[in-house]
Order: sequence, then structure tokens, then C-alpha cells
Amino acid sequence: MDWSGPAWSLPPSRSSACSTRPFQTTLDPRAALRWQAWKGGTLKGGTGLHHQAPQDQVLAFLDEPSGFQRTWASEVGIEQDLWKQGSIDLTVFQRESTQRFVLHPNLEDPDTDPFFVAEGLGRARGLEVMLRKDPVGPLSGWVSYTLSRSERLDDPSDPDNPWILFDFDQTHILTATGQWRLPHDVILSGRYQYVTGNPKTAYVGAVADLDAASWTGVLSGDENGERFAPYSSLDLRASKLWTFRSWQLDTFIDLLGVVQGQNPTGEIQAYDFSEALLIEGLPLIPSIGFEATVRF
Amino acid sequence: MRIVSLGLVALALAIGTACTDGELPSESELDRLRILAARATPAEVAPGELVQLESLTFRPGSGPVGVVWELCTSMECPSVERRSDPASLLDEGELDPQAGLIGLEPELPPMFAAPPGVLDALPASEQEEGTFVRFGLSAVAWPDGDTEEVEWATKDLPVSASSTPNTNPVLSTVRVGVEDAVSGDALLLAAREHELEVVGLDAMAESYTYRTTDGTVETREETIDVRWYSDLGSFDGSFWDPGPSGGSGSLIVVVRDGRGGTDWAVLQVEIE
Repeated sequence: MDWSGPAWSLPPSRSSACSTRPFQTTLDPRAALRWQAWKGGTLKGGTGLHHQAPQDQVLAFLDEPSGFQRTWASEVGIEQDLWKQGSIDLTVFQRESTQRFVLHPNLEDPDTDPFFVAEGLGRARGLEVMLRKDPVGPLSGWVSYTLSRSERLDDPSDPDNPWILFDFDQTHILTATGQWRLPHDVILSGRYQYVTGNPKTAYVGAVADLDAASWTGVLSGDENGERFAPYSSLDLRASKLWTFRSWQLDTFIDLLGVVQGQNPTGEIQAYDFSEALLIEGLPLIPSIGFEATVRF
Repeated sequence: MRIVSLGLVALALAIGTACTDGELPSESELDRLRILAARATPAEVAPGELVQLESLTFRPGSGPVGVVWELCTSMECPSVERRSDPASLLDEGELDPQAGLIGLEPELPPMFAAPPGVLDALPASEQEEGTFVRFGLSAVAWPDGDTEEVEWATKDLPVSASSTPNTNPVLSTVRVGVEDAVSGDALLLAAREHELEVVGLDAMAESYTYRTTDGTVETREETIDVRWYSDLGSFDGSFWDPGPSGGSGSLIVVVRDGRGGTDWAVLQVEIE
């Protein structure tokens, strides 16, 4: 079923979804609307319910079929054509989750109490902006920016339990790509990406086990209260297409990470957790290559 | 018309690989207040038996170190988890024998009597292997230092009905280069690399019987762990470079048998 007209549309692919696991079925009603409110301008919105099964490491501890995590996701936005040269798209979104599986906050007897309970909450909100320059003329590309915050509350029954950031919360995500077509089938292109570092929980000390000569780090009570350094990288590419009577040769050179930050992928703690070294990402990687196309 | 494509990345050069920048401190290099070891004598006790406890600490400049010993309950060590310093605990009267205070080195040498009924909850078949009691240690440069810098540690005391309880290894002689020394000796060493050795290491390892959970009795051999520490120079395996001439400091070695038994030797060294 497709309810579409000159100004309104209800995309059929997003009207509903079903999920079935052994002994369990969920119905996920969803709806999305697009309204061409003026020439070149479209208002859009959508809302829907999503169910997600527990992850395998949780299922391993569940003795009986359990519920699903529920998330209501909603978004509204606007799209505007820009003089036939491109478009701009702005979307504001919000997601509210319930029945998140979390470690039992008041586990007393491991023999009788479940390790995981579906009592956690989650929420995410933010906005996305995308500016596109269509390949009309020699220049094309797009810029995308996302501002978001995603948090979880593992024990809503405890009023002193704060909302904390998800492990992969990223406040800013900026991506820009561009391409410049030059004469003689030469193309210069590039991409820049900036992403806020993932949250982490700091160590505030360590306790030595004097029998084993080992150390156990003591984590800060401010869970995910710090962040790794952000990721940033500029990649460049130049290509040249050589055309012959019956075949073409596309040659290119890629420079990945021409300009980049520390881009940590992790950290190594000192023996006593008193300091840490960042494991930094890959440095500048140049590569050259070719692709030949032969017509018989 | 047929089209055949052939692609190849002819060359990919990583200028380096994922890397770290800088160095982390070495466990062996002493540059701050540390609790290096703790010893219970005897190393393993029977219920009701009295045990003497002592710690080995290091403080730059050889100043005094105060170490609070407390009894942990259900694996929770109050001051270790509160991360309080010994001075404040004593000032606030939070540590007393009723609350688990075992001792305050060096003023009040820690002693402890294993609770008589500590094995009662265990089946008879498990009483020979027994259980353990955990102590929490908090060390601070006390009474004249920065009490904000606190070092925390735990020490387990095996308590069992074993007829052959574990004993502490006995570290008698260490060899630094060609020099033999015992704990408390002062050595004058050349400013070059020295090989370090614990003399008689093999003789320290005891054979013992271990009863598994299914009742099988196994004969096992201890593995002695050796750790060297110094506030001078740097270590490379069992080799120690004490640094330039004119330096003076400590060279410490701790041996552990993996079952709670510990011994150590402390040497004073001068580099000529």
C-alpha cells in the first residue's frame, strides 16, 4: 500500500515490522510522512517502535524467554533544494528506550537472583545536518554534521543513580567530502572527518595484591566521565583516467591521514594504573594503484 | 562487447604502525611511596593460632612510613575502599580493634589470631585446604609527609587444618655481580651493569600436597617468584644498571612462593 499524492506520502516500507524469536513475537508499528510544503521544500517526520532482542552475552544468563528492549524513535526534519545545485537536510531526532537489560543492581544471591534484569532506561537525542553539492559542474561533495547525546540509566529505582553516557556516545561527528573534476580526466578528491572521542572511566588509584605482586585498578565513581582524544583525519586522492582505443587505465594515489590528530584506539595502563599511554592510530599511509578496463 | 576490469593497489606504504608515545614507569624502579611486600609469620596458620605481620615499604629519601593494617570482611577492606589515610583514620577514631584494626606500623606491630571457628562452615574434606583471611594495608608518608599520597594493598593469610602448613621461603644470600650479600649489607658497586641472582633459589621451593575439589590428592612444587626493586638505575631482566657513579640508594629483592609465603632482602648500595 502506498499512500502518496502530489504533496503527501507515506512510504510503505516503513509502515510496520515484525520480529519473531522462539516463543516471542513483537509488532513494531512505524509511520513516516513527507510533505512537500513549498517548491523545493519538504517537511518530514516519523515515529515508530523498535524491539531489540537481548545480546548473546545476556541471553546466556537468562533461564527463560525474556522480553525485548523497546525503543520509541521519532524524528522531524526539513529538506530544501538549493537552486538545482544541491540540497540541505536538517533532522532532529529522539529515542527513548525501556526494558534495557542491565546487571542486576541489587544482586544478593547469585543462586536465585538473575544476573540481568530488563529495568534499564536509555535515551538519545540530537540533530543532523547535511549539505550536498550535486555533481553539477566540476565541483561536488557534501558536509554532514551530527550533534548528539546518548545516555543510560541502569537503576531507575535509585534516585541517586545518575544518567551516564553510553560507551560509544559521540557528541560531534563532522564529515566533509569533496571532488574536483579537472580537464583530461583528472580528479582531485578529499575527505575530512572529526569525531568526539569515546567516553571512558578514569582510574583513581590501584590496590596491590601483595601475594600475587599484581595490581587492580580502582575506577572513578564518575562512570564514563572522561573521554579519549577526538579522532580527526584528512584523506586526499588524485586520479587520472587514461583512455585508449579498446581499454582504459585508471591510476590513482591515495594519501590517508595527511593531517590527523592522536586518534587513540585504546590505552595501556602502567603497572599501578598511575598513568597510561595512548595507542595511537595509523600514521600517514600513501598508496598508489591502477584499474584497467578492457573491451573485447 | 565484453568488459574485463583488473584492479591492483600496486603499493601501500605505512610510514609506521599503530604506536604509543613515551614510556610507562617500571614496577621495579622505585620513585614514590610503595608497599613492596607483606609477610605473615607463620605463613599459614590453624584456627586460633597467632600470626605476626609485617610489611616492606619504600619511601624516597628513606623517611618514615606509617602502615595501617586492618581486617577485611567479606572481601571488603574499609580503608582501602574509602581510600582514607592512616592519620585521619586514627584521628577520627575510626580504626580500633573492634572495627578491625590489626596494627599500625611502626608504632603498633600488627598481630592477629585466626578466628577459632573460621573453618567451621567448610565441609571436613575442605578444611585441610582451608580458607584465607584478607588484610587491607594503607601506607602513607607519616607522620611527616604528604598524607594525600596513600598506597593501598591487600595481603591474604591462609588458614587451614593442614598437617603440613606452608612456610615462608628463606632468602639468605643474594649475588650482585660477583658480590654475595645478605639483607642489611652495604655494597660498593661499579657503575656498570650487574647480573642479579638469588642464591639457593631452587632450595626455597617446597613440595606440598594439594587436595582438589573432587578429593584427589596431588603433589605439587612451588614456583618461586623473584622481583627486584631499586631507586637507582634501570633493570633489564635479571640485569641491573645502577646508573652513574656517585649514586646511593637501595636494592631490594622479594621472593614469593605463590601460596602466601614471602621473604625479602634489602641492601644499601653506593656506586663508585
